[in-house]
Amino acid sequence: MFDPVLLEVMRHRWRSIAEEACAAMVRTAYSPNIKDRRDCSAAVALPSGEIVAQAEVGTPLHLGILPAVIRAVLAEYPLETLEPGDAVITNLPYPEGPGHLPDVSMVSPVYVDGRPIAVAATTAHHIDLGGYAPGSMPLGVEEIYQEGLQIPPTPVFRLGQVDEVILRLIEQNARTRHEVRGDLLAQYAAGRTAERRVAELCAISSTELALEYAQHVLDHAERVMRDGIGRLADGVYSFDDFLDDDGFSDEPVRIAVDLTIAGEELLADFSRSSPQVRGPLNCRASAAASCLYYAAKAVIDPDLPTSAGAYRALKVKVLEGSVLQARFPAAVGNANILTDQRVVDALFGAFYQVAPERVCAACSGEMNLVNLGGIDPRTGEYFNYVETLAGGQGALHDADGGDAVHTHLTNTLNTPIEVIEQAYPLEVTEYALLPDTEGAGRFRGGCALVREIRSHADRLTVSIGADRRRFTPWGLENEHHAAGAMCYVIRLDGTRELLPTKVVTTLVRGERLRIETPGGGGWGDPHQRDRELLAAEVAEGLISPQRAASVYGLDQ
Amino acid sequence: MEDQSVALYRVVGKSATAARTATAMTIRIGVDTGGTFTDVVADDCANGKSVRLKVPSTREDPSEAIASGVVRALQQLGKSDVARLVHGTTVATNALLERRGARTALVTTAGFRDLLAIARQNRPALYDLRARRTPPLIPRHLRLEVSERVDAEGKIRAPLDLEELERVIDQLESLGVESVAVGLLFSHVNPAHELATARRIAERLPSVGVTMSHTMAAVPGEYERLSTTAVNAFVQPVMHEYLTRLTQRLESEGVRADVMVMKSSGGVGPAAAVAEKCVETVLSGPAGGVMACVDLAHRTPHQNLIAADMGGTSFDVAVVTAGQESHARDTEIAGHPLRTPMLDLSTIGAGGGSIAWVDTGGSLRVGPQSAGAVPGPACYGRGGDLPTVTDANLVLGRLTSDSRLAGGMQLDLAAARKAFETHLAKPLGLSVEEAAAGVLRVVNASMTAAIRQITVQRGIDPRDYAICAYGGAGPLHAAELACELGVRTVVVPRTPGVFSAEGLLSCDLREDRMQSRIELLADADLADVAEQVRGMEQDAAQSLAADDQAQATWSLGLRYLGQTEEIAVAFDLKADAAKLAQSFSSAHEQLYGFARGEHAVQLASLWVSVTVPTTHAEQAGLAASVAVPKSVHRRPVYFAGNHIDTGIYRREDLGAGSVIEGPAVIEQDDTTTVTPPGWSGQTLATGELVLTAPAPS
Repeated sequence: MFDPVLLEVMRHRWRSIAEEACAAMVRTAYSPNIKDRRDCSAAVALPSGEIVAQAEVGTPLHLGILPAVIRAVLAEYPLETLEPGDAVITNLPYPEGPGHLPDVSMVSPVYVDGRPIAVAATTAHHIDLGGYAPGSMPLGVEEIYQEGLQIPPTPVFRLGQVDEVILRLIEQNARTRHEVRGDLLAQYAAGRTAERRVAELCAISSTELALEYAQHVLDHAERVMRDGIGRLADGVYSFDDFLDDDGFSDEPVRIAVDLTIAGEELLADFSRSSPQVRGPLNCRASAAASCLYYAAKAVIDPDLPTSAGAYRALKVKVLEGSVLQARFPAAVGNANILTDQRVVDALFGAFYQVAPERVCAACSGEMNLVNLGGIDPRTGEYFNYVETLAGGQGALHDADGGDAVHTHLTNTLNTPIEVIEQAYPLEVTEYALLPDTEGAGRFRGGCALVREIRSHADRLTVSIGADRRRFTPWGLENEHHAAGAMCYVIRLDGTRELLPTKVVTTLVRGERLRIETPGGGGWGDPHQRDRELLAAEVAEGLISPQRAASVYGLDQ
Repeated sequence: MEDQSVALYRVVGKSATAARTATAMTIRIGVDTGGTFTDVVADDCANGKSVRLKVPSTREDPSEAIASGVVRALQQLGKSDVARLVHGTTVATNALLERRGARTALVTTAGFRDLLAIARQNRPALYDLRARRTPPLIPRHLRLEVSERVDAEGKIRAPLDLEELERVIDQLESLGVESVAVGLLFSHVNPAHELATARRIAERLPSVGVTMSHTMAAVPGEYERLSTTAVNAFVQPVMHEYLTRLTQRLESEGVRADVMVMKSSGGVGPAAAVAEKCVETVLSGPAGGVMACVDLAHRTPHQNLIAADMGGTSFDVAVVTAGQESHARDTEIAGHPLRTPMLDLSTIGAGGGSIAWVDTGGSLRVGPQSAGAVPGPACYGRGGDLPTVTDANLVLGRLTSDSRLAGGMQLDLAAARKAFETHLAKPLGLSVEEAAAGVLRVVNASMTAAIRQITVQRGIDPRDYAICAYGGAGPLHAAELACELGVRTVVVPRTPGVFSAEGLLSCDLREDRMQSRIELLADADLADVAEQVRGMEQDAAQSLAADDQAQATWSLGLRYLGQTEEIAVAFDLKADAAKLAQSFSSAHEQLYGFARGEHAVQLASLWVSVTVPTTHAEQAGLAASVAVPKSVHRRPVYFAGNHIDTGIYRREDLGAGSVIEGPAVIEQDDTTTVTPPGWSGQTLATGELVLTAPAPS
C-alpha cells in the first residue's frame, strides 16, 4: 500500500529533478538550436529504463523514445559497469535508439551511497553530425551511411573526464564542430545535476523510500491510464493515412493503424503499413511507440503526470521490414519530422471513432524542416541554420484549431529573425500567416504560415523535408481539406520555381526560398460556421470574401 | 544617433513637479492596491510616528479607496503635506489580464504584421489539444505595414516609403485607433525609421498615443520587443487616465503629494514618466514585497532571503542575495512576453483558496483550481463546498473560527470538516485530520517546487537563505516549507499583511536605459562607448528629475561571438577591453560552468541604471519584554499525526527578545504564524519574528 499524500509529494520531487536537469542543459548549451529553440529533453528513470519523471519543455517525440534509448545503452553498458561521472552517448536508431542521427542521447548513472540506483537521460538535437548535406537530415539518400556519423553507445565521459579522442573524432565529423563540445557538455551538466538532486532526495527521505515511491509514481500513472482506457468502448478502430512519397518515386507511403481497445489495454497494430522505403522516411518501433504514448496521453488525460507507468497499458505492433520497423541500414533522417507526425494523425483518426470529443482533425502533419548551410562570407566559416516551421492545428468538435503552431510531436521555438540575420548570411523577407489555408468547417482548422528567406551568401545548400502536398490535412465530419505544403525558389528575375517537398538543392546570392506550410483540417459543415466569427475573419483578411462565399456560403 | 527626446509624451499633471519644490515635508506614504484591501502605510520622519491601515478596495476606481485611506492616515498623523507618496498599482496588470485597454494598432515592417500572432510558434502545453496561445492584443486588421528595412548592422537596406506611410496614417485615422505601437525590425540597432514613423504619426494624429519599440526594450528578438511595445500601447491610455484621476482626487482632497509609482524593477518613478512606460508596472504590486525584503535584509542579520508571499490565490516567490534583489531579463505576464527591467519573480497558482481533490489513480492533488474569494473555501460559508488549503488549516487548529482572516469573518469549522469528510477523507480512507495534513503537505510540495525553480535552477542553494514569509497565508506555511528545503530560518515581518506597502517606502527612484551597440569588443572605441552611455545616463536622470544625489551604474552586455544571450559586465571610464573580456569570461564560467578563453567577445548592448537613493526612516523598535511571554490560551493543534496541546500567543504581546518554544501559534490581525514542535521563535528589537529550526540530530 502507499500513502496518497507521500505519493503526490514524491511525484513533485522527482519531477523537480527532471526539470532542474533540463534547465541546466538549456542554460549551458551553446547552439541556438538548444538555447533558443529548446530542441532537447530530459528525464530520470529507474534502472529498468522506466521514466519516473520528465521535464515537459522538450518535444514529446524525444520523451517517448527515451525508454528505448536507455534500454539500448544499458544493454551494452550494464548499469553496474558504469562508474560515477561516466556518461554514454548514442545517436543510432538501430536496433533501438534516437530517431535520427542529429538527436544525440546521453545516459548517465545516478549513484547514491556508492550504488547506481537510477539513470539520467537527455536528448539534444545537435546542429550537424556530417553526412551528405548540412544538418545531417538530407533528402534523396538511401542509407544511413549517407546521413552522418553513427555513434553506437559510446562512453564519452569517464569518471568525470571527457574522452578527448572520441570527442575529437565526433568534432571532425561535424560541419559546425565548435558547437558539438559545448552542447555535449550541457547534456553532461544535466546528468550531473540529476545525480546531485537524486542524492539530496534520498538524504531527505531515504533511498528505499525514494525508490519505493518511484515505483508508486509509475503504478499510479498506469492506474490512471488504464482507468481512462477502460472508459472507452471495446473494439477495433482502423484508420489509414498516407505520406505523399519518399522523394524517389511517386508512390504514396501508407501509414495504417488498427487500434484495439480491450478492457484496460490498448494495442496499436501498424501491420498494414507500407514496407520500408528508399528515402529517409523509415523508423523503428520505438518511434511508433513514442507516437502512441503521445496520442494516448493527449486523448485520455493530458494532465496526467507523465511517467513510463502510463505506457504499460499501451502496446505497439509493427512488421519487421516495414516503414515503421525498417532494417539496417535504411535511411531514417526525416522520419522524425514527417513519418511520425503522420503516425499521430492516423492514431487520431482511429481514436476519433471511439472518443470524437477528445481528438482534433489532421494537423499540418509534418514539421517543414529547412536546412540552409554553407560558407558565411562574413567569417569564411561554415554555418548551418536549421528550423522547423509550424502549420495549422486541426479543429476539435467544439473549437477551432490554432494558427501557425507546432503540433503533436514537436514544440520547438522559432529562431527570431533578429537572431537569424545576425548569426547567418540570410535575410528573412516575409514571415506571416497564410490566408485561405485553413481546413474549412463549422470549426475551422488553423492557418498555415509562410517564411521567405534570401541568401546573402554566394551559394547555399538547402535541404527541405516536407509533406502533405497531395494528401493534404483532412477534416472531420466534412470532406474539406486544408491547404498543403508548397516550397519555391524565387530566382533573381522573380520567377517562382516549385520545388519537390523532399529535396536538396542550392540557392545563390540574392535568390529566395519560400516555404508555405500546410494548414489544419476543419470540423463539420462550413455552412454552419458562426457568421459573426466568419465576418470578422473576412475583415481580418484570414479568409477571403470569395472563399467565405463559395466554401462557407457567406452572403456578401 | 538622432535626438530621441521627441515630444511624443503627454504630461500627466503638474502636481508632481510642483510638489517636489516644496520643502520641510516629512510624511512618506506607501499605498498598495490589492484585490480585497488597499493597504496604506504612513511614516512621519520628523517624530517617528507611523500609521498602518487597510481600507476596502474600490474596484471600479481604485483611486477612491486610496484617497480615503491617505486622508485617514494623514488625519491620524495630523498633517496634510506629503513628501512622497509611492503607489503600488495593479491597474496596468488588470487592464492586461482583462484585456480592457485602448483600441490599439501596430505599425511594423512590411511582411511581418503577423509576428504578434505567430509568436514563437510553440504552444503553451505539450499534450492539451485545447491549449492556445494568448491571442494578440492587436487584431489583424489593426496591424499595418510600411515598406522599409534595416539590417542586423543597422544599415538601411530599403528606405522608409514615406508615401505609403501617409496612407497607413490615413488608415489609422479612419480605423479610429486611440494608441499605436510602432515596432520595426532591427530598430534596436538603428531606430531612424521607427522614429520617423512615430514622429509623423504624432504630427498627424496628436491625440493618439505612440509607443516606439526601441524605447521600450532596445534588445534583439522581434517578437518579444513587439509584444512589450503592444502591451504598453494597449495599457498606456488607461494608466494615463488613472494616474491623472488619482492626482486630481488627491489634490481635491487637499493632499499635496509628489506621486511616485512602483515599477516591476523594484524602483519607483514619477507618475508622469511611469504613465508613458506603464508596461514597466506590471509587477508593481508584488515588487513592493520584494523590496520590503531588501529593506529587511538591511536592518536585520538576514542578508539572504527567499521572499515568499502567499495569499488567497497565488504564491509569489523571489530571491534577495546579500541584501540585493535579483533581476530577470525576460518574463511573461498572461501569455505576453515582456522585455523590461523586472525583478526575478515567479508566481504559481497556489494559495489559501486552492482546491484539493482525488484523481482517478487515487492520488491526492491540490489545485490548479481555486475557490478564490467567491465562493471561497468551504469555511467561508459563501457557497463553496470543496475542501481548500484554508479549510485544511482550520481543520488542523492552525486557524481558529474567529481568526480575523478576510476581514474579521467567522470561519465555519463544521463546513470545513464536512468538505474534507465528503471529498477527501472517505475516498482516500483517511481521517479528516490526516486528509487535511495531507493537503498541506501537497500544497507545500508545489510551493517548494516553485522555490526550487527560482533558486536551484538559477544555481542558488536555498539552504544559505532564510525564508521571509508574508501575505495573509505565508507565515502559516513557512516553517514547513523551510523543512522541505533544508532552510533553517524563517523571518516573519512585524506586519506581514501590509508588508508590500511598507516596501514602497524604502524604494529608490530608479530609471533604466538600454541601447544596442554591436561590435567586437576588441575593436570598440571605449571612449566613444562611454560617451554614448553618458548620454543615456543624462536622459534617464532627466526623466527622474534627479538632482545631484543621483547615482548611476553602467554596464555592457557582452557575449561570445555567435551567442545570442548576453551577460552584463560592469563598465566605467577606467575599463579596458582586456579587463572587460576577463570579467565576462569569469561571469560566464560562474553562470554556465565553462568559459572559452580563446573565443572573440562581442559587445551587444549598453545598460545604464540611475537611482536616487531614498533615506530610510528609522522605525521605532520594540521594547524589551519578558523573555517568555504568556500564551493567551491553549488549544490542540494537529502536527505530524497527533493533536498537540499548543500555546496560542498574540503577536503584540511579544517584546524584543521574547522567546517562544514550538509548538506555538502566534496570531495577529493580518496573519497567523505556525511554529511547529521543535522550532523556536524569537522577536528581534526591530520587530521581526524569527523562527529557527531544531538543531539537526
